[in-house]
Amino acid sequence: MSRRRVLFVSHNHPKVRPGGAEGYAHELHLALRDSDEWEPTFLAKSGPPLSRSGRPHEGTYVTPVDGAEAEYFLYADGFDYDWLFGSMRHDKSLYTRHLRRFLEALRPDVVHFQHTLFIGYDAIREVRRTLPGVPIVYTLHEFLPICRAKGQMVRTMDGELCDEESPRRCHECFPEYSPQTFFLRKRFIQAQFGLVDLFVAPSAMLRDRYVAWGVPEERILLEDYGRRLPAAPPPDDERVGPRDRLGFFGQLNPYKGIDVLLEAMRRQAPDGGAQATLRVHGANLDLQEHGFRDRVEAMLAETRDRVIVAGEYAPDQVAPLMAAVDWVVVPSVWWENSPLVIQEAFAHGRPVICSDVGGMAEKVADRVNGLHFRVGDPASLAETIGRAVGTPGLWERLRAGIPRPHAMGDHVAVLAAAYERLLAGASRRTAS
Amino acid sequence: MTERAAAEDVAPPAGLSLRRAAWLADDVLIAACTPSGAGSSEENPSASAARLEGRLVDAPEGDAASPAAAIVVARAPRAALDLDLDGHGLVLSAGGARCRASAGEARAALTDLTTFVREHLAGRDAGARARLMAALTSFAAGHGLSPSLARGLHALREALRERHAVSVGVEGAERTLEVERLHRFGGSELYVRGRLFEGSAALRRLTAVSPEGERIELLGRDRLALAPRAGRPQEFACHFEAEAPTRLADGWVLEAENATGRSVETVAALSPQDEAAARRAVVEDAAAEGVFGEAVRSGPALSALTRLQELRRDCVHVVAEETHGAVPPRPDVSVIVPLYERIDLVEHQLAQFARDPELAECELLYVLDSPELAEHLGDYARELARLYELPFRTATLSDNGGVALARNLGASLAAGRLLLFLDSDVLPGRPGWIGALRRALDADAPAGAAGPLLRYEDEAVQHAGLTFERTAGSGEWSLVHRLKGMHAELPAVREGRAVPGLSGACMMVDAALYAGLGGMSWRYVQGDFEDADFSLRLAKDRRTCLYVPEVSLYHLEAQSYPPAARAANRRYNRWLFTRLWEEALEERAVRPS
Repeated sequence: MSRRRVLFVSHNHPKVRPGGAEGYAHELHLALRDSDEWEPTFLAKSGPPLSRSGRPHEGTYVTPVDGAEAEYFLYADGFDYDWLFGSMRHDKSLYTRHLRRFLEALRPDVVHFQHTLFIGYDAIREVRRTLPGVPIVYTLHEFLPICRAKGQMVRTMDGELCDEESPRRCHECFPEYSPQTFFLRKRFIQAQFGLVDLFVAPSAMLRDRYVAWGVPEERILLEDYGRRLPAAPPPDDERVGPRDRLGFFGQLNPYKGIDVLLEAMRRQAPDGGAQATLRVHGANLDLQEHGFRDRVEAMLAETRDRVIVAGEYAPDQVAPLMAAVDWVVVPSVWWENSPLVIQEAFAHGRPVICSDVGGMAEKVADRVNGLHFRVGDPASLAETIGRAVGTPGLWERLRAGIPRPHAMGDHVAVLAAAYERLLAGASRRTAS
Repeated sequence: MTERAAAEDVAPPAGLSLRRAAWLADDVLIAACTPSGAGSSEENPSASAARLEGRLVDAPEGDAASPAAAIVVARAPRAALDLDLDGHGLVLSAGGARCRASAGEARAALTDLTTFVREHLAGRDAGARARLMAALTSFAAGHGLSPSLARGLHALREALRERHAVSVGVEGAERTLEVERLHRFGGSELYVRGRLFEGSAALRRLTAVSPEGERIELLGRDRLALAPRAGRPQEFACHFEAEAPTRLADGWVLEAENATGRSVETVAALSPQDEAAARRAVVEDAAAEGVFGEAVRSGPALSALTRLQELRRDCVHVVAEETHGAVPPRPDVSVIVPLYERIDLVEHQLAQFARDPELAECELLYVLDSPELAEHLGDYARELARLYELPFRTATLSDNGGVALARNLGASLAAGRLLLFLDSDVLPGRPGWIGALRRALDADAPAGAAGPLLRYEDEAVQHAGLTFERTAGSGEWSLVHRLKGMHAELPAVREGRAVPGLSGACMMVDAALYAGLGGMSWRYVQGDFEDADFSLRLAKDRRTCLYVPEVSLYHLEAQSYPPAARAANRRYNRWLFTRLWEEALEERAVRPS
């Protein structure tokens, strides 16, 4: 039997700009390539804003990724992306002509959207229009369809976590847009989402948020990201003395909470008690706005004796870096969905210290395989770090409680089964 | 236009000689002729002399010794005449008189207009000069006013008119006359707004003088609103018509004279802007308070705005139509959506309509009331039609006509048995709303129109039927949206019933009934009250308005009109509505059905 074709649509290719969601999406594509039953194609938006170079050939808006057979870039040069509604303004021919031609040439059996950012929700409608019987799957990675503020549901005026959208509240965060405009945005996105057959939510927290927003519960599958990670953590080195080495892995931006962590490090009591050290692995501090950057640099200077900036890292280099720390700290100040760094920490046998909200609190069980601290509160984090470092046997107990990672092979099986169910349902509908 | 007689009976003198002639316009000759006698030549014009039929505009008395000249004006083709005059002479007939000139005499007589005026016109007394201008004005009315004739008349006017003290805008000056604005529309209709300060004496005369010299008395007209004199500037507004055509923009003058005989004049600058600007200006004046405001509304504003709205109604028409996809040929329901500025709302509506199978059976028609966006909408509509695969039509209007005209013109294009008017900022909730509304309307025999519950984005009631209420202060009748602001699920909101009025934002009505009643009224400015007006016309026709709360849509009331303009429009519309329906509404209040 010939392999069925699945098309993955992503907002970015990790080769153009590394990133969590797109990195995972590409890994999924590569994993599916190894299967006997599925033939995947990966379509990633390229060009501005994430890449400087636009489309290379006249007369087409797609082109293979560096010659690869099953990976394409999609360009939108000359089209006007509306960030508020998530749609191309006015000229829809990116979908009705260019995407349509691609779909007709490829004829996938399933279309799986990882993201429609920079492409537009209208792409969903175009898939339904061009390939009427083909099931449409959509993975949710954050709250962008619900929340204009970077999809984080953190209020713009005071950084408080938001757990409920409404036209009025969204207008409060963005006074330049009226409540009616936010109502229009929601109805528009929901109208396009109405065509999606199955949503995938990597965390229960995310799923619940979308159900509250209006996605029918029976249409969301709870399924965490699958990873190509070691099935069992490496055996641990014998260490004498406290488990006092912390590690941070991620972007040095406000919503990942690096400033909360540095402030906590600053507050460590200088008395004879246990002192933690911190290795910061990450980048892009230079891309942040002045106030934040200056504060971080000042705190780094102050904590020079116990905080080391280890710089950027590539995803496949993470093993030795993880081995060099005892704890991984995930101090994000937004809800997070299913942080890939938590899966990586667990895969390497590192208990996680994280904020007590959202996807972090869901994936890390307090006092089972990690420790929670009050989100955004450096004092709480400092106290938690003190406890982590200063409690004999705690690290070992938490390490023992670390669950097995969700393997990519299992993840692929779950998705493939979902695709099969959808295809069976679709063919039943066509037959009747 | 028939020729009007000169201001006074002019007795045609006997044979005349040409004294002087000048070109008043490219094609109008003005001549001064005196009785043939001493000094006149014996030369006769040749047989091929130019023969002109003219009109005597003045024949002043003079003594036999120095006879004053009779003034004749005649249409004359200048280019041809120049040759003839030089070569063959001229015979000018006017009434029973005949003025002859040989070629030489004609050549000698021809001069420039300034010289002509100086020699023969400027020396006359004020009354004679005024009569002369009046006769010339009526000549222009009869013969048509070309641009050069307009300029010529203006030159004459400036040379001949009685000048008054020019109004000075000095604090405390006793004689002040100020024109705030002057608009011209519909050819020769004018609207003026200004103020005067005549000290202790009453106003005896308020005269508008056109650039071409016509004098129009404003005082005493019923379309003049004059504020009571109370020791401060007296506001006035007037809607008047020039009897003779007027074409020049510069040169309007306003004169005022008080009971003591003192006069003052001021320049009245004619607004270069279009009728829409005139409409805005009159609406703004109509919002004035107090006795003066009421006089403005019931006088000049009512007549000027009625005329302006009429002009718009007569001029606005469908200029272009486009059909996207296969619109059902014999639909039961035509959905008509007026579009003003916010064409992005089309996409939002289509995104909702696309999931409703009922929409595919309707005729969906967007009427563009912002013609400057025609090209933009055309491209956009084509793109959306492709993406959403829902057939619809678009119709573009020639000018911005207002929502009533947009709905009426849309209705004239629609094929459905039922019309469903829908504002562009209304979004359906769940599919099936059209069928439900139709069933309710069809089931209820006396119902003439049906409308649903309309909600704001936060579930507050925006519309659950309209009632009419008299406002305490002004005594004017106003619309009240029943239960506005209450939660849409409140039991009272959910009660379907006949209501005094329905909003045009979502209203279903039988197409034949709508046409029979003449559609929505064009009298209201922009968009306001025309739906209430229509509801009352239905009532007059013994039809009810049905509120159907089981059907619910969202009405986002997107701000298309800037708030200030809206307020002024509303003020006038409410006043007009009261004036038209006061009696009927009072009757209803006394005997509610």
